[in-house]
Formats: sequence, structure tokens, C-alpha cells
Amino acid sequence: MSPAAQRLTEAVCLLLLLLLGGLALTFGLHLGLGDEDMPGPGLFPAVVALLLLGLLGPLCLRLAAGSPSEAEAADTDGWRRVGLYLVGMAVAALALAPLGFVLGIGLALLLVLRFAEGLGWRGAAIATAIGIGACFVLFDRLLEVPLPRGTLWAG
Amino acid sequence: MDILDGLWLGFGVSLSLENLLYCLVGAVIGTAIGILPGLGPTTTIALLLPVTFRLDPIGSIIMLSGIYYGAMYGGSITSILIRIPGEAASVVTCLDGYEMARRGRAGPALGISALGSFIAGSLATLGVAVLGPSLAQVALAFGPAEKASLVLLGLLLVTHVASGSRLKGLAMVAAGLLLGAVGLDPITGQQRFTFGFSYLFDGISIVILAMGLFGVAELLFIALRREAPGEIVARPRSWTETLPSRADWAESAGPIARGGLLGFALGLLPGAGALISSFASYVLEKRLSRTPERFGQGAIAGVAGPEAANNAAAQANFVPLLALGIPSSVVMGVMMGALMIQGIAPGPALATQHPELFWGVITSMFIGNVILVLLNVPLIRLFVRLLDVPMRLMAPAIMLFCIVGAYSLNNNWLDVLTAMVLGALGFLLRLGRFDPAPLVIAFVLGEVFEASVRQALLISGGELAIFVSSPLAAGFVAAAALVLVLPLAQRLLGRRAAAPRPLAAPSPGDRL
Repeated sequence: MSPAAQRLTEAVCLLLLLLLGGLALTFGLHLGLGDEDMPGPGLFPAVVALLLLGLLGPLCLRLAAGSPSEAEAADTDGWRRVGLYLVGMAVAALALAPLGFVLGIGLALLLVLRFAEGLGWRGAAIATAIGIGACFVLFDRLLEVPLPRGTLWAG
Repeated sequence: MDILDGLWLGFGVSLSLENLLYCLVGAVIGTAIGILPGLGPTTTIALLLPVTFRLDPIGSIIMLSGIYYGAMYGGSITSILIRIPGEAASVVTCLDGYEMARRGRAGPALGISALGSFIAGSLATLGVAVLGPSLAQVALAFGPAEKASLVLLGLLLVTHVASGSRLKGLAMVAAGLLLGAVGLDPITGQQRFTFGFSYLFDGISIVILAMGLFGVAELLFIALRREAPGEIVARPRSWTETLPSRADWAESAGPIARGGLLGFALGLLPGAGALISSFASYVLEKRLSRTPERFGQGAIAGVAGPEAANNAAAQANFVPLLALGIPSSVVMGVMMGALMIQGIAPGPALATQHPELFWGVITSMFIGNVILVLLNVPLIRLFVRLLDVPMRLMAPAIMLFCIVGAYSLNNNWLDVLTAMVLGALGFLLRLGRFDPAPLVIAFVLGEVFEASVRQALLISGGELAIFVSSPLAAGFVAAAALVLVLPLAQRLLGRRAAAPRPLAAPSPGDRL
């Protein structure tokens, strides 16, 4: 990652924190600060939000002054893998309930093994089957967590 | 209950077949994780939280504790054999451990690291048994003002846990407190920051937060940086090779004793812990040595001292958690979360309300240390083989565990999505050099902090002076002010403490 990208990442983080602080302050005030006898539910979040916003000031100034932290070294392949893992997790989350554990997770795992990790179709399928089997034994059988069978096939 | 009664009760609990099994499983997983570069104890504990949710509270904490100190043992193996620390506290071991291995003395380096860790860890556990209940007795007298000021001190000290800028660490603490405020108001029971979304009515789950910020974020880092595996300089052929000679013992006895004491003392302080104690022990041994020039060239004292120190600190870390309910490190923060999801609040009342858990965990550390030394010495060859597992299989396995673990918590796909979003956020924060460790600690401490502050204000009729009205509360507030002001004052006066930096620090947040 280039120093410019590093600065951009830091700026995005600061923006997210500013957003969190701003939201907490607004809703904290809305919830009510209470009075001397009874501090309100909004008092604590509002005070913490003010502190957060106060801390972000110098951090924004430091970033504007141009002293970025050391950049993270990574290649394009690395970023592609990160994207594919996130897609894999999203696929699993969305497909888990309708397709069930085996197909939902299998799809995500296959996607990651084949495209992010570059395994051949056969290798990816075998690794997926082993992973799903191991997970099924650990969670469904040993820990008695009912893994979803899939609402699409439920009848 | 006196200490002997407590230990008797604890051994009764921890020596049950079930808990022995949990301890063994934790120690094995911990050692394996410590060996694997890329995964740290925090990530592993976060990943395994949903599994322990199904176990009984004592068993789950015994297993998680085993993972923690097991990782301390295992982390040194890769430091010695391939000069890659399995976890942050083993960074110093790379210096002399790897040099010993290069000179054909990998066996004694591995052996003294395991046996030194065992001795220091066992003595530190005795310290936990003595100090924990006494501290809890004192803390029982704490009112809301003392509790609030102690948590404030703890929160400020944990910014030392964070790598990088203190300001960023403080911002992470504030963010953690705000995220912890989502859900029910601890005093009035009113909904806060839920935006009518029923998923948030009970607040953000610590399990999902920890899994996201550590598990998923670590997974994304592994995906981002695919480093070539290090070369193993020596593979021990048999366990007898790992036994140190009489001369090795003579050279290591002092460093182990000093490292153990130093590690225990530093492990009690929030924010210090295993990493700092291992560096401190190394510097101390080098200063005390008659042949300091041998350090960095394969001196066994440079392995024995830091290894003893980091294991003693790992055990001592439990004292503030069990006795005061204050996690002194991010691992302890996640551990506190594990206790809380089981409906147990760590703190001064733990020893009296749940003596089986309190003493069971302490005595399981003795047993865990025995298990670890039995594992580490004879099974060293087997553990080294783990380094041959390719990361292209390890990373998808972590993803699988994240998905199923998050789902299994409430059988809710939204938990998986939340873990993913929090993971992406944690990844982004770490890229931006914001360490999420203080955020997680503040998140778990947020509720008790807010409740104590508001209770104190209720008692005093809104008078802030209540926080300095008792000597204890005033002491904690003064210490908190010092923690906050001292680094600023040092900076302003241009007296930047010449902190010795013998090694490049591990990448921020990587192994916390």
C-alpha cells in the first residue's frame, strides 16, 4: 500500500470515528442528560462522545500535517484475496438459512479455495468436503448446535 | 475460606476427568496456535468463544486459560527454530534462541524454554493463589466511586496495550465505551442506540465483536500478506536432545528466578503483561551478566529469563481479572467476555460467590503447566510438523470456523454478517494503525464503568467530589491523571525516555 493509500485509510478510520462520536452525541442529548439527582441515560454516551470528538481533533491535524504511519506492504493478489474472503463470508451469511449448512457454507468455501487460494477444482472440492464434515461433527454432533438444513428444502 | 481450603476445593474441581480434558484440549490448541505464525491467543480465544458457550463456565474458562498459556509455551518454538515469533511475547526469544539453534543447540534452547516456563509459571500460579483472594477481600469494600475510579485507571492503562499512538489508543477506548452503550441502559433499562432494530436490543455481543475484530480481521490480514514460510534451521530428532545440561541449568537458574519474579510483578499491571516483561527480563539479564557480549550470540540466559518472564506474566494477568474484574490485557478482556456470556461477573465477589470457578481456574493453571511441559518436551517433533501446513488451507479453515462459530451463537445469520462487517472494520482500523485491543477492553468494562459512575453520582447528588472523597478513590484518580499527563509532560519537556529498542516491535496489533 502506498503512503497516499495509507493516509486515505487513516482518513477513513477518522471519518468513521467522527461519525460514531457525532451520532452518539446527538442521540445521547436526545435521550436526556438527566439532572443532579438522577443522571439520564444519555449522559454517559454524550460525555464519552465529546471526549472522542476531542481526541479526534489532534489526530485529524496530525494527518493533515502529513505524518502518515508506516505503510502496509501488500500486493494486488493480496487485496484480491481479501475481497474474495469477504464475498465468501457474505455468501455464507446470506445462503446459510435458505440453502442450509452444507450448500451455503460449501459454496462459500469452494469459492475461496478455488479463486482466492488457487486450488484446482478437485482439490477445492475435497478440502470443502473435509471442512464441512469436520465442522458438522464438531458443532452438530459434539456440541449439539443444530446447523440449518435449509428453508428452501423444508417443504 | 483460607488458601489451603481454596486450593483443596480447586484441585477437586480441576482434577475431575471433564476439566482435565478441557485443560488438555486448551493446552494442545494453545501450543499449536502459539507455533503457527499468524494466529495469536486472542484470535484463537475469540474464535473458540462460541464453542465454550456450550460448555459449563468452569470448563470453558479452564480451556480458554489453557489456550492462553499454551500459546505462551508454543510461541517460543518458532522463535527458536525459524526466528518467527509464534506470538508477540516470544519476540525476544528470537535473539538468542535462534542463534542457539543455528549453532546446533536447538534442543537445549527448546528444553530450557519449556522447563523455565514451567518453573516460572508454577511459581506465578502460587502467587495468583496467594494474592488473588487477598486483593479480592480488599476490593469487596469498594463502593461505586472506588470502582469507577479503578476502572478509569484500568482504561487509561490499557492504552499502553495498544501499539502506536496513545491518542489513537484513547480514541479506541472511547469508541469501545460507546459501542458498549448499545442496548439496555444499565440503570433505567431504557433502550439506547438500537434504532428500533430488535437485533440490537441486547446490545452487541462480545463474542461477535471479538470474533469480528480479531478472528475475521486476522483472517483478512492472512489473506493480504502471504509470506513465504521461514526455514527451519534444526528439527529435534528425539526428546532427550531437549534436556538442558548441568551447565545450562547453572547458567539459567538465576534468569528463570528473576524472570519469573519480574514477569509476575509486571503481569499484575494492566497494560504491561507478557510482551513488556520478556523485554524487561532480557535487558535485566544482559545488564547483570558478566559476559553481556554473549547476548545475541546464543546465550541460554537470553532464552531462559524472557521465557520465564512471559509465562509468569501470563499467569499473573489473571489476578486483576479474577480479583478486581479488570482485564489487564486484551486476552483477559475476551476472557472476561467469556465469563459474562456465562452469566458470571468477574470481580471481588467471584471468590465468595463462585469459589469452585475461582479456585478451579487457579489450580487448573498448575495442572496446565504440568500438561504443557509433558507436551512440549516429548512431543516437540510433532508440533514442529504443524509448520508444514500450508496457509492456503489454514485461512479457509479459519473462515469456516468464523462463519459456523458466529452462527452457532444464536442460530442467526445476522450474527455472521455482523462478524463480517466488524471484521472488515477491524481490518480497516488496523491498516489505519488503530489497534482494536483497547476498544474490546473498554467494551467489556463499559457497563460496569457507566453503572458505577452513575451510582456514585446518584449517591452524591451529582457532586463530582465523590470520586476523590475516599483515599482509595482519590489514589486511583491521581494515578489515572499521572498515566494521562506523564507522557504528555515528558514530551513537552523534550525528555523522551530513551526506551531501549533492541528489536523491531511486532507489527501493530498482530499478536495481541
